[in-house]
Amino acid sequence: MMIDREAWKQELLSHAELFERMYDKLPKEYIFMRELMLSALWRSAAQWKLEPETV
Amino acid sequence: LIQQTATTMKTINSTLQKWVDEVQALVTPDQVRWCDGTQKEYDEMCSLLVQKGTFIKLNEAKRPNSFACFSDPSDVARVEDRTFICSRKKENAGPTNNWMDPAEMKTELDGVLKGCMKGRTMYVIPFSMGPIGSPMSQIGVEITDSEYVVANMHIMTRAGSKVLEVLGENGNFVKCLHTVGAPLEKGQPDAKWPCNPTLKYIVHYPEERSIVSYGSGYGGNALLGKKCFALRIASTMAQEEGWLAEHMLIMGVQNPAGEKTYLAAAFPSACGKTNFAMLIPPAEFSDWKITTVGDDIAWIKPGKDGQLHAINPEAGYFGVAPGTNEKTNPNAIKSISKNTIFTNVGVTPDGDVWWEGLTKEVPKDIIDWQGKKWDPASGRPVAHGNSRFTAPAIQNPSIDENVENPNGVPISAFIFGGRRSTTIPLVYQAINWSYGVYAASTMGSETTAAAFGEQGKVRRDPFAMLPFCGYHMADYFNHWLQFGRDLPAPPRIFNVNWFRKDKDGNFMWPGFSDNMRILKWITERVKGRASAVESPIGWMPHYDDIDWKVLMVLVKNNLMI
Repeated sequence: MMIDREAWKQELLSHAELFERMYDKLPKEYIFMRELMLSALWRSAAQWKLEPETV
Repeated sequence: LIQQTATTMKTINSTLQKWVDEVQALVTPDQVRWCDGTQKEYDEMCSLLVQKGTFIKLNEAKRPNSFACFSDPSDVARVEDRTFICSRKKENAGPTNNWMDPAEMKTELDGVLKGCMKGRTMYVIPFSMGPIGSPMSQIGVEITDSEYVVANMHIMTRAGSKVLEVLGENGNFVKCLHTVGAPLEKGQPDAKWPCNPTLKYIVHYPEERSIVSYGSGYGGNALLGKKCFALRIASTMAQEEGWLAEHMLIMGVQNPAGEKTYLAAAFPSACGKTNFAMLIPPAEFSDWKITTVGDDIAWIKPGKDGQLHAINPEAGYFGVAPGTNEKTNPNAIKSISKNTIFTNVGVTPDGDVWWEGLTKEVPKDIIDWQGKKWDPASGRPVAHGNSRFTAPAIQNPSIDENVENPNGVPISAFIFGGRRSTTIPLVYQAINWSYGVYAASTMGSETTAAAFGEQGKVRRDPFAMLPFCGYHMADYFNHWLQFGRDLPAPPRIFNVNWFRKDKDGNFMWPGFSDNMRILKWITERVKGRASAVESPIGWMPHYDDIDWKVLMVLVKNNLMI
């Protein structure tokens, strides 16, 4: 299971596009949650993934 | 003189009687018939449809008590551009719904509805969405001029006189008016599939709890209990009354110790929702059991015990036929073995049905969904892509024991997923309720199958509710956020993606029965027994948290799911 940082940054950009469509009533927390996720991605590895535990 | 048959069926509910009288005066049918919901009535409808040439009786030995029919080529799917939410204020319909002023719409509709049932019978179908008499159920009454609708409503809902008893003198009901919009002059022969090929309206008045559908005889446009009532109207009721009306399947997952966990899951169309709801675990999970409560719609209310309880408001399956086979969904194949109506599938010379994906070979001399002999050279499919089966849920071998429980089943987790060839991992658990609601609000699905390695166009479909939310989508997000805050222990929320592809365009996950492995982790997480690690987007299983047994090849090669 892998999280590709750059692909996810694109994903979050398109969330903003969706939010803009319904900006009048959008829950305020969505704007900040998006920012927090973006910050988490910026601080993560380019590829975050699982390796089998070899022990 | 207009005649009302089945006179014993007259209602004591004056609001209902008044509405039926008003509609009758407007649409001027030849006769009015109150539907009692009996088997006799169902059989009568089917033989009438056979007489009219709409239904083809299938081979009794191969497919007992079943029928096939072909719709008009213009009438094969829901019509989103003709679907309106006519709330009093435009901002209550929101940016994702078509809106028109209700007064203007009524004037316009009165014009088209006038005399629209001339030459036809007006059927009055009282129906219950959910077990009859359950505190979680709602009552609707559909007026229609289509025998096809009467027959389908018999399967899809609990319809008939019992509902009128529950409705009583003062009970509330949702008014569902449907017409195919094809009046008949005296002596004019009827079409096999009457409809209005050029004019259609699917109109909702959320504040009045009423629906008007004009011009189509197909599925969600005509069976008004389904998307129109159970989602669009019910979602507005739910927002006002503090519950949820969702485009979700409901399933039970029973572990080898006999402990059962109920989940509700939302997927946009073409993501295998029905297959998932009827999943059969792989051989090495034979001591696990999946049971089906519902395959499409869930009504969810907070119970006195602090848990969420869900019912399936429907009584049947209106499933997409193409791709359904013994391998992808054996339980669906058993569900449609008898007492089923097939719409727009192919019909074989020996009187059985066929669609793309049912078997590898196309049967010889097959009739296609337009009722013509299929030409293999034409390049056209035998069955329409949106061809359907209507089957009683009770015929599903995996039906859950609590499907008729008036208090529903307790929901421990929500699952959201779309068809995404990239980016979204196989499974993750949202950090908390709010992040889960955020993830569901931003879920998307690819519109077309992505070619080799190429990314398809992602269409955002929040909660798989975009075409079905009866009010402003962002108000709906707020409702969900608040709903969770008011629960002492809200269900856990998970995101899944069965459709990720590798760089060569191959699916990385086998899906279907192997989804059981993910379900196992999810149910164990809910019970607090499975581990997880914090990723940048949520909680993900450690490699060893997933039960990989027998899937070793996949384990080695596909760490990127």
